[in-house]
Amino acid sequence: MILPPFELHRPNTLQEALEVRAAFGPEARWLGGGTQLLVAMKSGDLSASQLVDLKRVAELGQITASGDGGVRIGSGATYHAIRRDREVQAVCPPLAHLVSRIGNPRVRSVGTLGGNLAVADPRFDPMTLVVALGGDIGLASAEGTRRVAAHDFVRGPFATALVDGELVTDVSVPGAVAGAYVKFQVSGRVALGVAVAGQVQEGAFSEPPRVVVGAAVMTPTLCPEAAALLVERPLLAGDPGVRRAAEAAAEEVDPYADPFASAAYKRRLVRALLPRAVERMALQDAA
Amino acid sequence: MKFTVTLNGEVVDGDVEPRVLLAAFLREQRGLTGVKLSCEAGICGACTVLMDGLPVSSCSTLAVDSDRCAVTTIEGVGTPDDLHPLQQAFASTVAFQCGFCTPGMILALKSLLDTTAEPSREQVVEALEGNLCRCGTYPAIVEAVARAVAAMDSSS
Repeated sequence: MILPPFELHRPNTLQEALEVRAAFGPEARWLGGGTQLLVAMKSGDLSASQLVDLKRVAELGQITASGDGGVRIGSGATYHAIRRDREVQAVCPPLAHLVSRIGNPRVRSVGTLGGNLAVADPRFDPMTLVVALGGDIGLASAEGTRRVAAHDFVRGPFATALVDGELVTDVSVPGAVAGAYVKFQVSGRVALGVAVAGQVQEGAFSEPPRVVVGAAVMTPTLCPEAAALLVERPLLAGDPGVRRAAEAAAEEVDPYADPFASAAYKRRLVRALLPRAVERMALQDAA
Repeated sequence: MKFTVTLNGEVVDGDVEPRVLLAAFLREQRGLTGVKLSCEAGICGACTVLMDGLPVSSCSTLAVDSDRCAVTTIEGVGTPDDLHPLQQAFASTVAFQCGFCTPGMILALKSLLDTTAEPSREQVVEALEGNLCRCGTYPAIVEAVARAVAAMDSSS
């Protein structure tokens, strides 16, 4: 398979990148690692006469501590780099773990977290965890910059808050938040992902955490009833309160049926996976 | 668009349209047909090459993106008279049948062994999780890696 012809732009600064994009309009697409875009262009699912390669914009590749104890991950940082970053490992171990298991080793070499979030494929892992962690997304266009909370950034399947000419500059996750992401995946695409994240004090949540279900639903879905039921419960998979929370989460989501599983089966997966996510989070927190 | 890549240790100047994929450049312009095309969607790993030591899908990489990088194909790993321990181990374990996946497997493993001296079985399996083998030689491949590690251990 071959790619259709296009002009390739390789800006060295964010400013240059935004100007090129503004000049060419929607015919121009952002190119990061290319694991999504190039494959889609080869198969004819996407077309673009101009590609704006962001790999030479150094500031987009940086991972830095953000002022409040969190970490800011540039949209151009590869999964490989994120996995090895000391700040990420210290501030957000569940995210370091997630990016170590995403895609396959070749995807991890060049694929970016920012690109993943911008595509917002409902089957992708990261958004579910980033929403649970209470992360936010930095956006930039020729008109300026803004930040959007992760759960506001994702609007639906393959739909985000990005407006024409905008790109994701970074994703920031806060510090001092314990979290875990557990997924069910037999082969190919993820079937279900569950993320739990919040502040743990003396082995329990004193405030409701965030419980998010992804992949089996069209958009990562917050489960506030389940989250409320986790308050003050021992963080054990077998705890009756945790099981009640899992039952609640299964009813709070609206999974779509597909050739691989009915909606009812996916609800069973939610009931099975939320307790595991809670326990994994507690184990990480203790480590 | 011009680019310069260090290909199997040799500095090579290229000049291609931006749309030319790295796999096509390597196979058609450099004759490196050890780079195999199969799924052409980045899934199967047959097209694996190392870029600055990391495995990438050359079927889904622009040739011009190899500018200022070091690229290694299977042709750059060992020679017929001086096989890399991985190649020797694959041969002695017969860790292949048709051999189509083998270049990708060896490059994925070389990337692992270049950074991890004594990988656990779990690390080996994880390093190979993106390389598919339709002949089903996976157990032999994992065995071959163990042999290669032992050989590299005893020679160092």
